[in-house]
Amino acid sequence: MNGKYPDIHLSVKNLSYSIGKKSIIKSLSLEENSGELIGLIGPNGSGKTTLIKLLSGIIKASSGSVYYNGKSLESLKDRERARLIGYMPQENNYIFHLKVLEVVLFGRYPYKTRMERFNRDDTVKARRMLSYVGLSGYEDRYFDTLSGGEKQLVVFAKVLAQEAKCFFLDEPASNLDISHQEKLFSMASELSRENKIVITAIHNLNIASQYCDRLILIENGSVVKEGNAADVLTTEIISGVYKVNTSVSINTSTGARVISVVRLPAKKKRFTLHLIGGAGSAVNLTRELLRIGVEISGGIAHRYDSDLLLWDAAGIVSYSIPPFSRIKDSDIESAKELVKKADITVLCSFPLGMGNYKNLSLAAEADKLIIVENTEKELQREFFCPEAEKIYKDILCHAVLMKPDKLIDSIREGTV
Amino acid sequence: MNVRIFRRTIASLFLILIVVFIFALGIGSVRVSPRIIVKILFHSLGIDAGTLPEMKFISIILFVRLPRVIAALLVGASLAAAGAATQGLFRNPMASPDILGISAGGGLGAVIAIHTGLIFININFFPLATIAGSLAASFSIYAIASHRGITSLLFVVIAGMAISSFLNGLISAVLLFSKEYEISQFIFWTMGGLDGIRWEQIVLLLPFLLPALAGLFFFSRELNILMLGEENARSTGMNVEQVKKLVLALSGIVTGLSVALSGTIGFVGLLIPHFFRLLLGSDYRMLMPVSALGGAVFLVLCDLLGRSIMPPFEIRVGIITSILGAPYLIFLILRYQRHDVNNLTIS
Repeated sequence: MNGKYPDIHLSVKNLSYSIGKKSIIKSLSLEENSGELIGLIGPNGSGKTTLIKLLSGIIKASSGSVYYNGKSLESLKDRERARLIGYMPQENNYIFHLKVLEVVLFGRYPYKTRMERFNRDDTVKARRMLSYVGLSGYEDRYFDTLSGGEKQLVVFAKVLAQEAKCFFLDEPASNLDISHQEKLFSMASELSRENKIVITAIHNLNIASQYCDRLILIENGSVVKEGNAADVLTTEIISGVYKVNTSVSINTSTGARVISVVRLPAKKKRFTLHLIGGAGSAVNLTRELLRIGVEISGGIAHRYDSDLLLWDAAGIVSYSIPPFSRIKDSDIESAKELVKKADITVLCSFPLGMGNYKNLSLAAEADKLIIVENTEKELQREFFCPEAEKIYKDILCHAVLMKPDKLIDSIREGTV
Repeated sequence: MNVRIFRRTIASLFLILIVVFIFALGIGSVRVSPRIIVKILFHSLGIDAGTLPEMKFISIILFVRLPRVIAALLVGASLAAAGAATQGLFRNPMASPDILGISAGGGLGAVIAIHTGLIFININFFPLATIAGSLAASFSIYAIASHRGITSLLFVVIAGMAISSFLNGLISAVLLFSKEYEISQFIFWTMGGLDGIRWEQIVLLLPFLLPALAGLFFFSRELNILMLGEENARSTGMNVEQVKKLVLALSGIVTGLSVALSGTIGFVGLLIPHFFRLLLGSDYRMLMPVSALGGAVFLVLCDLLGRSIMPPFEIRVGIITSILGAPYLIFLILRYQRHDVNNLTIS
């Protein structure tokens, strides 16, 4: 792949690990190549830390094996292993009075024989790693005077000083603020670009999605799903594994997947409500209604409308049409089913034009129609075509006009 | 490593040791001035030092006091070095040979060797018995407190305390059931003492003691790395279990041999490394030699105090170390609490 840095292949075959009768890792197999930042995700107790330790050779597998370029981990001597594999544990908040540079120099231990001392070359490397992690000038400071995040970075510099080819990091950023977190993951990413194997356990799915090229999702010691964020971080998979209702959306600025927990509503007053939205007018209402526990359907919306994005993220059934297209009569026929099924239909407050005025015809199909206006005056909304204004006035006769917060209150009180 | 402070500390400890050494030789029921002590020492080394005092003085100094002071020096250095090593190994400031029962193991070995008559078959069995006792105790602690290659910091001390009191119980039992039970023996094996030490004893032990002590020093780098926890140590390519076993074995040997000389003396192994850790930091490359030297000074001084407080009676050196050591430890804790330093919790 990269001429300067040789490829490394990690092969895990039927790896198992158990403590007493409890099996933590169950006959797990993996094939990974260097060059990507791989995130290991999974619920608490799923075996992330154990797997990281097994891959690093910190603990020994009960059965099965780990191979690096076909060479088994057990066949490596301790120092050989440390020259191949760098491992960073989750907790590094130790208190001892030793200079930071000395701690980074520990990473040179596998390159020394029993009696050999650290030399100038080792010191130069240790200094370089320290400045790479952003702690130049910290050489003569004492480890016990550092903050938790700085200690974490010093240990990372120590791992880097091992000049290994594979890196296994266990929750490397759990003690770090967002700027240090960004720094650590971009360094991990750079390592993977140098064609190294970098696997990091991350419990925060949003961070995993933001930084990792590939994700391995494990549950109860087995791989559930492997692939890129789009494959692994779906509402269905995540909700199933983590046993909570989640919604997956896309962060508009970074493009990364954002996983949020949606609280399961109290299921007592079960009535359904159809939202006719557009131009983001249904977003706030949808969130409020989800919180109350109303079953929602939505449409007709244009694709990429923020209303539709939210409905998709929350798993709401909706009807949509291509962006900038006009609503056709056939669309109304199809969307009508949702309106007919709903107890109440709510027409949100959005401007009307040629593209969407037929949503008003859809609203006209409703048995009970509530029109939401931000002010309680009629005709506050904008009309960009005369047909829209006409139909709007027609349906206004048999609809109730409400402000959004009033609507929420009355649904909560059950007076709708 | 702060080399300058390290060198200064070593140099001052050497100076203090020389002064204390000469005073320790001169003070006692027969007082000899430092000038004459130096003369006698030079003379014994074959260097002409002018007029000498009476032969009576020379033999008191060379055959009664000198072995005693040398023994104090060796035992102090051994216990402090073993203490520094075990504290570092278990990352626990309480994990010293006396607290962990390694000393008591040596003591049990000694009383068994004496009261089964083993030492009358061959005197070499005596140090072997104390070493065996100490090794047995240290590996029991390791076996109890280590699980799946991880040694629990808390269980080390709890296991050590249990083993220590169990072994001390056994020592008392062996002494009680032995034919010629004497209270002085009981005191010797539980509190230690340096009186009546002869050159033969020292010569017998020295070939084992010095290599073992030197061996401990070679693990300074490993002890440093272990401060980052066993997982980090393993990930840097250290064979942690092997290092643990070797350091424990060497500490056991060193402790066992010092028990063979002086009985079980408490607080040196606990206190001395701790004192220097607070003074110099946690770097074992400095801590090991400085602790050994400091332990030597401390024990020679304690023995000197015990002999000179109310002559002709002697207060046993173990009593002095306890009386000086315990309040000092409390003082350290209080002082560092006030400075809001947590150095005492994890070294």
